[in-house]
Amino acid sequence: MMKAILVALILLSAYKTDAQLVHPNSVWRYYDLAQEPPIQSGETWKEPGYDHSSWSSGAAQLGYGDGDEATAISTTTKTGYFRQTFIVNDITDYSGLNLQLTYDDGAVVYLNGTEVWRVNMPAGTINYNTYASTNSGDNVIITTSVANTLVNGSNLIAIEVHQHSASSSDLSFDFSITGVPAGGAAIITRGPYLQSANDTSLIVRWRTNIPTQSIIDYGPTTSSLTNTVSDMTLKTEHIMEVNQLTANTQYYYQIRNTADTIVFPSSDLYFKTYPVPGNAMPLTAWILGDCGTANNNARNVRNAYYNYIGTQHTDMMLFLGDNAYNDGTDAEYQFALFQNMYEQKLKNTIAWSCLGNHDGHSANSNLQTGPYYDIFSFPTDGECGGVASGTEAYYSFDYGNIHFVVLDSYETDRSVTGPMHVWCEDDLESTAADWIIAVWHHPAYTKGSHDSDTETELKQMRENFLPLFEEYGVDLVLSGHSHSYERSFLLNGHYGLSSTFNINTHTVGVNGDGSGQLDEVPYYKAPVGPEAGDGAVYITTGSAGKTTAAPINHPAMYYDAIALGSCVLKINQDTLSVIFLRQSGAIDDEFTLIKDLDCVPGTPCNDNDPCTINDELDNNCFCRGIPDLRIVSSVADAGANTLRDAVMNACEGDTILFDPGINDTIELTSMINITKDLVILADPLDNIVVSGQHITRIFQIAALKEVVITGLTFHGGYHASEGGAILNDGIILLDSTEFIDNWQGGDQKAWTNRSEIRIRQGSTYLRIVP
Amino acid sequence: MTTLVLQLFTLLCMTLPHGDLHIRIREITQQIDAAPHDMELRMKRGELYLQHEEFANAKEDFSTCLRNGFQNERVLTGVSTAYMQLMRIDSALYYVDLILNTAPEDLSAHELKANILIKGNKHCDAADLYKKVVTEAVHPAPLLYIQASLAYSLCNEPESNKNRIEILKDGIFKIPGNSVLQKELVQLYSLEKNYDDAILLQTEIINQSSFKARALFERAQLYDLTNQPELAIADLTSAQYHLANIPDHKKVVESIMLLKHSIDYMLEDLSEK
Repeated sequence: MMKAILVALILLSAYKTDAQLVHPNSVWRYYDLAQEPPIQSGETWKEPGYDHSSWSSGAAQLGYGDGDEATAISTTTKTGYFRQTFIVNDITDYSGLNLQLTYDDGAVVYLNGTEVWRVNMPAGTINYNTYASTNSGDNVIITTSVANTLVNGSNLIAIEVHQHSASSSDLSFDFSITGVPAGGAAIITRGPYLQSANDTSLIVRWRTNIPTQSIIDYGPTTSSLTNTVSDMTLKTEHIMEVNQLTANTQYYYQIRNTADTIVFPSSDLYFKTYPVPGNAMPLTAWILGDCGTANNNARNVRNAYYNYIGTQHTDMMLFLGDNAYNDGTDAEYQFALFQNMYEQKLKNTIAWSCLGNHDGHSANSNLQTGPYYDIFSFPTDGECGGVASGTEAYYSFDYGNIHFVVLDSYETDRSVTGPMHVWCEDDLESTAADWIIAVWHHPAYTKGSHDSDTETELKQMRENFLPLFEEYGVDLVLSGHSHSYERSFLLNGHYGLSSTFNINTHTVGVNGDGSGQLDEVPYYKAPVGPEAGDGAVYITTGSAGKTTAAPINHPAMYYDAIALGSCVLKINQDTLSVIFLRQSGAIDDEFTLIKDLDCVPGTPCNDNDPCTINDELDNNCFCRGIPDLRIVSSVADAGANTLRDAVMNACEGDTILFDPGINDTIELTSMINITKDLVILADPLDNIVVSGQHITRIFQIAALKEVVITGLTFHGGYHASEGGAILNDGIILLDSTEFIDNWQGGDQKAWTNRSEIRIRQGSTYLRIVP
Repeated sequence: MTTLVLQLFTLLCMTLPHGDLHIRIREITQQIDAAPHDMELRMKRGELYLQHEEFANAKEDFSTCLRNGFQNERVLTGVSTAYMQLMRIDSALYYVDLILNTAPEDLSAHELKANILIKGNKHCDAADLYKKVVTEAVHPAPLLYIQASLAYSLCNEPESNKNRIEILKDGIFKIPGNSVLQKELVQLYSLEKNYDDAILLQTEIINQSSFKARALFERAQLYDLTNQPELAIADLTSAQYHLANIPDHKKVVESIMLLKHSIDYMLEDLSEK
């Protein structure tokens, strides 16, 4: 209930109805080359026609000298020049404009080439060398209201910020514009954003400054919005279901009321339905944990994803809770999600979320009240796939052949007899999806800013829910809460404290205890056999808004880092992959999980290893071959099927055998170098002799190489100084071998040993020569 | 040195089992030290103490607010919750009633009061309150119905099971197709030996379920209890068919293998009879 009061208090301040046209902390073009920007074909830098594409760009606050800049510009410039364009579709929506400037020391603001505001600057003509009138102090924020001189379409705001003197050490700049709605004009104050998609329908939500009708026109192109859904009830919170859509299809849309268009169609204003349940279609999901700081940390993480994904469509944004700090209030959500944050993606990407503890401060999951439940529309009746949960606190949905289960680890009963667990079991039993992905806020495994060994929610989720999810073959579990990135091995059956984790018994599958990275060996999950369905990767990724120092030493984790970032999940057919994308754009970690449910173990395949033969799929559907056998069938010194040829072409660890037809002497004219681990296996009864003909040593074994030689007779090996038959720098095991008439110079000598030779007769070691 | 610092940090985290809450409490304590008469800060720290499960400290902060005339719904909710956790039931009820005196329709306060009553073993009163909450709430979660049903069962009055049935039926009406509530009601009908309604509801579960084998098996058990072996056999046969058609990777799930075994065994048993 204290949550309800919080909400009421915040709602009052949340209904700020001006439209944000230029956001604070937004990205600007800037010129800092210690001179006024050069004129281009008669156009000065402040005019709309001027081309600023060669200017640098960066997020505000811009400047230097204070240490609080998001983008530092050159300290050599006395004046900074800044430009930004923005689109206004209908200027009659606004009766005036409110401007807010952060500056140090003076500034002049131009809108579409005309000066609209001069702050702490002298009268008259301003140029690069003009100083501000006085020292302003640091980061002064000032506001003013001006007339609406906008134009329909592209508008330019251009600003010059001046120092007070040549010795001034700092320069600061940020700027925003809000439009004051004209009387009766409906404008968007939140959204649009997309919810609860399935293959034939989805929900579009938005908020307006005044109560008005809800109308969506949509169609296959921006110029063909031929379908309409509408609700003539006057409201500010608009929740419109669009249905009877075609699966996996993109539709463009616009939003309007009966009087006016409120959101105009554009190339990035669209929604895309999900694939038909069961159909395998590629998925790209953006995973954001604990992103709700509403600051430049979150924006930098966002920008890294935008740069990474480019123009490619994102199928879903998956918020892992703590989406708005500190209390998940409506006002906090406004700035953490909707305004100057994710609005560019939210309008064309389906958003899903689980409840975080900070969201829970102002929400009541049992009554499904509070901002979290007011803001989001999640499926409760199984309308997006899965079993009806009857609550938005926990639910499930399908994307093609992928089943997502979203749980409330904060407010809802986590016991095995509780409704959430009972529903979850029902849901998991019912799904026929190829992939299962579980999402909740409190991680099962973490040693980040939270500890899964000691904290109640984390322990209960691990102890109560992991056995259930594992039984039904969950593939990936995503959580936040700890403000770090921690990614596990391919785990199975670990429900205890971190001290009880055993990498040998709690990991499964091919390379389950490895990196899972493509440049090594990905994780493989077995579709059949005793380990069928076993193994899941657990990711704690709660650093999309902030990081917190922590030990990050959970032994179940292959990789961990305290770094700002988000995750990108991709699934295509039988392959799942995840990357951790830092705010810098660097990819810190990646893994791939392969689960080919249609494969038939024993089916021939190609493991791309030339050293193996008879390659076939094992129970994990991992293609394996057996080492090839090398058969010597010629007694010639060199050429096909000779001993020399077999040694040269053998792979590491191969076995070389002799055709039963060989019972003659192999006469060498030069030594054979052995530079790999080999087994050379002859039957002593065949009396195979290898001869150096008293002109050459027979074998040289390279350092660190192990060679097993059985059943051969070495004869006539010769070397002037390092004889006789073998020069050994590796490890040789000689079994049932004979050395006859081998020489070093004028002395008989079997070998020269510089490492280790073991001599065995049958199973008995006769001698080990160090 | 680094290792030592890390070990100390780990030790610190081990002793503070609520993540960064202790840091936030420490920060707000510093603010209170600087402004000891700021009751807003006390209230916020009290709420943090509640989350940190330091209920005595929470109660102290909220009580300080009240002593200084800083009384609002958040403070009253906080102090009531703290008293409930400290098992001082009368005090908890006193403060939650203060909220309800001024906001009698506050469902969160009613839910809190029901929780307090359960802790105080006043199950019948709690059950009535839960009933009020689920009746008046716009989107009550299934858990509230389960809690109400549980409270009625603990109430142990002659009408308890009837009340349980009514509340669960109301839940199923308000949250259609919710299998958690439906299964609970089927169990209750069976307990009451009202097999007709149990079978009727179980049939609804079968119709809405995408995994029908288990629901069919459970109805077969009901048919068996009511001496209708032919219908039971028909359900079991149908369950076998459904199981045979699930994807291969689901057939190896342990609980599904167990279900299959149970179906086969029961079918064999009934066929022999």
